[in-house]
Amino acid sequence: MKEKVNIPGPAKVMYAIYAGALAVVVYSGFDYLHPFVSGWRYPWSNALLQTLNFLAIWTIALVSFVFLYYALLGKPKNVEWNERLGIFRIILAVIALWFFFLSMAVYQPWGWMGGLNAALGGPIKVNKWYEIWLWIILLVNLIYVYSRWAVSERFPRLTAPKKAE
Amino acid sequence: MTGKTVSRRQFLKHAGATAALLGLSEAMIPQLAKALEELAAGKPPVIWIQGQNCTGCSVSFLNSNYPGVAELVLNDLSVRYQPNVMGGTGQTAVEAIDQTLQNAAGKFVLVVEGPVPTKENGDFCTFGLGSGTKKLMGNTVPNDKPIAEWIKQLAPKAAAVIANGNCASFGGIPAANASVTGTTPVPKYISSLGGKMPPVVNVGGCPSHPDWFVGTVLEALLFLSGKGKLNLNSNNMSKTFFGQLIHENCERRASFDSGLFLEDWNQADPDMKLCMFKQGCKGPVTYADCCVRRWNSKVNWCVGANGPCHGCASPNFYKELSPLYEPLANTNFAGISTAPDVLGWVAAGATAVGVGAHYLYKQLGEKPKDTAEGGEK
Repeated sequence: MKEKVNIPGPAKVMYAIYAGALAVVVYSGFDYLHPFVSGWRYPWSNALLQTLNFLAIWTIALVSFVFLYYALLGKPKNVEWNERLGIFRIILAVIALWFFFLSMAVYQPWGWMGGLNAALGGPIKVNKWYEIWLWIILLVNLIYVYSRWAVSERFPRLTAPKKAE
Repeated sequence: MTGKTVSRRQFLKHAGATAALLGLSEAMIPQLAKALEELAAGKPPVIWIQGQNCTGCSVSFLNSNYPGVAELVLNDLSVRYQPNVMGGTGQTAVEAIDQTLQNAAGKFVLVVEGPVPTKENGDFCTFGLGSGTKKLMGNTVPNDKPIAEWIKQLAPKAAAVIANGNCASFGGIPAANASVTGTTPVPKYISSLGGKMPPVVNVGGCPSHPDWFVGTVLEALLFLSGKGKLNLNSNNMSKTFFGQLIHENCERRASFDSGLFLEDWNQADPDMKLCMFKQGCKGPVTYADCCVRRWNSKVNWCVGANGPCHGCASPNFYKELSPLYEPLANTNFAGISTAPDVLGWVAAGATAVGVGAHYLYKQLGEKPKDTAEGGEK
């Protein structure tokens, strides 16, 4: 039987917040330039989604920053953390921070991330990069969730097997 | 020209129109009137030369009203050379440039319309005569002077350079795909010359809106005279005209928000209210004020005429925004040209296959091991 994977509570909570906010970002991000919801949107929905997108991407950035601090420097020494995918979580946090800057460059091209917008080739190209990274961050997180399941004692079931008496 | 006079009433009306053009409040009219008065007294010389252009931006400029083009050319500015409207031709016309260089070095504004061809010594675009001679059909004739040479000569002595239109500013249509002429945008060409160069301000658009061009020139002149500041975005375009997304102020924005899209050009849309995003409108990624400024004396604009915005004011026009009637521009990476969405779906498919293969491997590959260790024999 596989060893039980122990993850500190704060790390679990932070990933839950991250994943929840990411769901909002992915939906609203695709919705903005990908009107796959033709025909039923209401006039207020798009503006609401953009506002939610902003709130969610700020949430993701802050949680990722705190997570990086916790994982690399701030974790108490007596806390057990034997997850083999720890480095994967750090990569997710770094990607999220990059995506936060990209979002700022997309939604506010002449704002404080205007330099990034110009460096990536202007609003059109930044939109393409945003779209591509929207896919990347979505798929990388799906791969992480699957990997986390694959290395857990539950795999290939959804629940952990009962301990043999 | 020198004998023309204006009354105080006419002048204030003119200043008011200029303030409206720049989007300034009425409270700014006295200051603007004073600045224009000082400008008019000095008559800032302008040299307007043309590179790989279609003359569309010149024609658009001729449609300027409030202030009218005659007032601009003769009263506010002193346009010394403009090949389409000036009376002189040939060497007489070119001499106007030489005289300006002698009399107003460091004071004139250089306007360039169209980008600069650099291949074949720049011979794709010439006017006037250069130094030296060449053989042509058995005859010895003077060399033509390429636009690149003109800019090399004029730019260092100008007070400011205005790249008028998308082609001059960013390459535009002449730079789309593999340019056989070595098309180079004016700012890029000037920066490649090295040395101390004047500020270069870009005016997007294909063609540039007369208000955009005139307003930018006035902003530049006010800046040079210390009366105003240049508020430029990261593409060196005036934020007065290129600071807002077309999509934000579009008259069909409510349709976009409601998910009401023109799905087909044959679709019945008698009120012309459906959003044209799916038919290639680039309004969501283009910064310009067309929707509020409108064209042809504020009569209409592209979307109002039931045509999607092609993003002609964008630095990415034309290459990155074509095909014009496709909803999203393609990516070009490692020789693969496709929409980001297609790449995304392919990656999602690959991820699903990878995850599925891993799951099946773990399921099918580990069973014999379990049987051998603890299973029934």
